[in-house]
Amino acid sequence: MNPTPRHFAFRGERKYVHGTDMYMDVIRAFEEAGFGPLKDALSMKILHKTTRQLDLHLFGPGEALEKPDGVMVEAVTKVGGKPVVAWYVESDREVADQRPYPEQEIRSKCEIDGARISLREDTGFEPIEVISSMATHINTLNIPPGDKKWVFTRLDIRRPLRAGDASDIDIEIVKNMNNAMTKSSIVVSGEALGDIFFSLAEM
Amino acid sequence: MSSVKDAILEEISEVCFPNTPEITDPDDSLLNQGIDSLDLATVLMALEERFEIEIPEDEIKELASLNNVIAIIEARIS
Repeated sequence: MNPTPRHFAFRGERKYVHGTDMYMDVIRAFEEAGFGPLKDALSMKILHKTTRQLDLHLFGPGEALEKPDGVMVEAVTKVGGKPVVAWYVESDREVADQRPYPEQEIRSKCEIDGARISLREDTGFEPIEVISSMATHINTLNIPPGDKKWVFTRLDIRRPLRAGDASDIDIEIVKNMNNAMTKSSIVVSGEALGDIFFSLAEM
Repeated sequence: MSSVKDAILEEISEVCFPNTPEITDPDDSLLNQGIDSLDLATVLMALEERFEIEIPEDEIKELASLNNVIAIIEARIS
């Protein structure tokens, strides 16, 4: 399939494309291509910090996979038992837009207990925004990043997020690899949904 | 094939899907054989959980090959 240009905006003060936007874009892209509604496990990897717009290379079930050079982000799920893959490659187009991301509105409503952070109400944000913000916060509190930053680098979930997943969430750091990478469990309304990984990165 | 080796290859296959690399040289760095650093860290975390072990940082730096990983795990579970 030919690459498709996608449009992203930076979030808040960031000067890189945020993982939450990549997640929402890839779900949208899968559905636009007729692969939705997705039901199977989904994995997304953010391999490099992306500061420019991205082009999407999408491969449907049964298509021969031709991984392009320079993949920045990869997302994989299955449809009908066959892999569906999205690879994002950085383009030469600049990101011109910036939009607010008032994460404090999420974090101020969370409860923290050691390596666990919990939310029990709807904040109006998308599930991936809530999960990413909560996970960033609990990583930063538990393992201060110094002059670096904890960034969302991988998501492994048993099913795609749903609208109702944003208001009853527990996230807990379950693995800390040398203060450089962490794995946190995601539990939504009592359902173990999967894991989100963060890496310590210079920004 | 040892069970530890099976387990490592299984985790690599799962974590790296659909880009599962073929590990042709067990003594060469996994990073030279199609595994990126993010995947490698994820595989190591999965192996730590699977075998209920800790892999110290200094040994992670030494982790280069399939055989290195097998040796480190076997030393901890034996």
